[in-house]
Amino acid sequence: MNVLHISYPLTDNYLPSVIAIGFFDGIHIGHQMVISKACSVAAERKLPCAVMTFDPHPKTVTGEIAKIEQITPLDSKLQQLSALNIDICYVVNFTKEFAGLTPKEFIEDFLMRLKPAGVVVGFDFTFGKKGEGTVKELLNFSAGRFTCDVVEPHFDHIGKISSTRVRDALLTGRVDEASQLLGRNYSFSGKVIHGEKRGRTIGFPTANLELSEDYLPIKRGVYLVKVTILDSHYNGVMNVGYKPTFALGQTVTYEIFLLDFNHDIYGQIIQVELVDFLRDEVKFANIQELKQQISKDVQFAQKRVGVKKG
Amino acid sequence: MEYNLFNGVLPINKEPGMTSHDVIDQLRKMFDTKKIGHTGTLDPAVSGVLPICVGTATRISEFIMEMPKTYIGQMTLGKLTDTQDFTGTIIKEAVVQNLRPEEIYEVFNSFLGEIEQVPPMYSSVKVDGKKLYQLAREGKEIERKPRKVTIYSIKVLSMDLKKDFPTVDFQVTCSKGTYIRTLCVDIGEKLGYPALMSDLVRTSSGSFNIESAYTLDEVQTYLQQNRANELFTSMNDALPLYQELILSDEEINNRILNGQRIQVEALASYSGIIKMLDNKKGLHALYSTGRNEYTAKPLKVFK
Repeated sequence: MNVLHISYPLTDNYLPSVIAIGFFDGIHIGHQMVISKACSVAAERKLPCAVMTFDPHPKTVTGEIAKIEQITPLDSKLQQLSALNIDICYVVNFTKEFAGLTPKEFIEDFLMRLKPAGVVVGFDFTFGKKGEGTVKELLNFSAGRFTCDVVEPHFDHIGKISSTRVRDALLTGRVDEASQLLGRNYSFSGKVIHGEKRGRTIGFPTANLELSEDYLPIKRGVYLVKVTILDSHYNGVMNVGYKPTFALGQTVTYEIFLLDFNHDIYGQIIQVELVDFLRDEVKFANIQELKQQISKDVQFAQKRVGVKKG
Repeated sequence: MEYNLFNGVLPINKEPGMTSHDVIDQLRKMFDTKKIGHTGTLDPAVSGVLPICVGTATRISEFIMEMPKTYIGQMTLGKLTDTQDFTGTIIKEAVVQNLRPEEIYEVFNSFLGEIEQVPPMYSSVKVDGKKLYQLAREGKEIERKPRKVTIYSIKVLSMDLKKDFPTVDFQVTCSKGTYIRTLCVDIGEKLGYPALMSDLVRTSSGSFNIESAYTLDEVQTYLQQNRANELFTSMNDALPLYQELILSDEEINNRILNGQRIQVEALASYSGIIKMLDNKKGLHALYSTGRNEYTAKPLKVFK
């Protein structure tokens, strides 16, 4: 996949292609539908298939939101896109100037320069300043010039598939649901750094990670993970939490214990896939509190099911 | 072949005061089947998650046993018993003085990673055909080989160092075969004091958490209300770590159930166990493949 970082105003010459346009955070299965539609239209026309996405997130540039933690920050997103048989990825540098283009200017002064033979977008696509341009305007502008396919939302048994749902699932430890929405296990990458010294001089029991990008903060707790190091896969247990024993500082640590692995990987970049969420971060100060909570939970459950304890 | 109405994994929340085998005996009566097995016992005084395999799921109990377990426990310093927990006879006592919190944190943290443990005499470890606890009850003690286990995470939750017999509450996530009683004794030893495990709750076993585990009373109620099927987790869901491969009914009937090797080019860089599933996510077999191998061979087929 050819990645082209472009910026308004465009000065180069581009070859015609069929372009799927969107922010596509997460590249969930709804996004995959939009992208695969673009690829099939492109195949019919014997043209390259392209994806246009934006960086940074439009809303941070317009000032609507201060900081956005992405499910798939740019590098992650490009990695996922390259697995989808796309020929070109246009990464548009979302500047204030670009954000100020009217819908008409977006089409005439920007999009047309990329020679779109066809455009594919999701039903909720908006463009131009303040998102004033909707798919209706896009269809109007496209008439006679490029084909325009609007892909309807994808639903599962719970509801519409959206980045918001994926984000929500990851923030609350619902790893299964996130995997189903994404069509793959959620993954992120990081560099192995030394954590606090644990008094061990032999072996490297845990890999502490410094995340490569601004990923959204997944729920703290214990996870089962699959780790990729130099193309090999290993299973592991990951602890996401504040520094374990002291309440000092509020930095989140990502500590992975790899099963059946005992090499020095300090400094290496590894990829981590979430397989399952095992446990919340501990919220009990002592075992008494835990037992009281369990007994409350059991009583509550029994009331619901109708057990009367004699 | 016995037809089982219920096949799956039932996460039991064992109450203190019963052995894990008592739990199995009761479930055998409740479900009227002998095909019930545990996935890692809990001492009678311990409560918490005990995933039980029922019906065809008994064939995956050895795999569930491999998953990490999490406990919240309490260590008491100043006394040691023959059983390493509070149920036994005190064999050593000491006055605990001048212990600093930093030492406690440091020593606990030093147990992170792979450690060696000598199995306690009061355990069901078999030596020459006899269980150690049988020998222990006869007053015997024999030498036991240390075993390697892994502590994936260990955290001190709180401590009370002002008591005559100070206590430390902690959480630990560890590999199968870890004796938390022995961990307490070994931590105490490193601190320079006799110690024992005074309390323990297993809060998770693999992906089964105590919040979604059922007491035997609750199981009884579900059975009475004809809702027992709600209690079970499918065999596929009980093994989240293994790679899934969904096959057509044809491939399953013709190849998997005959134990034939299958091609897995897409998983060339995967090494480990693969779950062979139908398109309804029913588990039919476990296969294994090595790194850079293009075929997977059967490990266990469930007919």
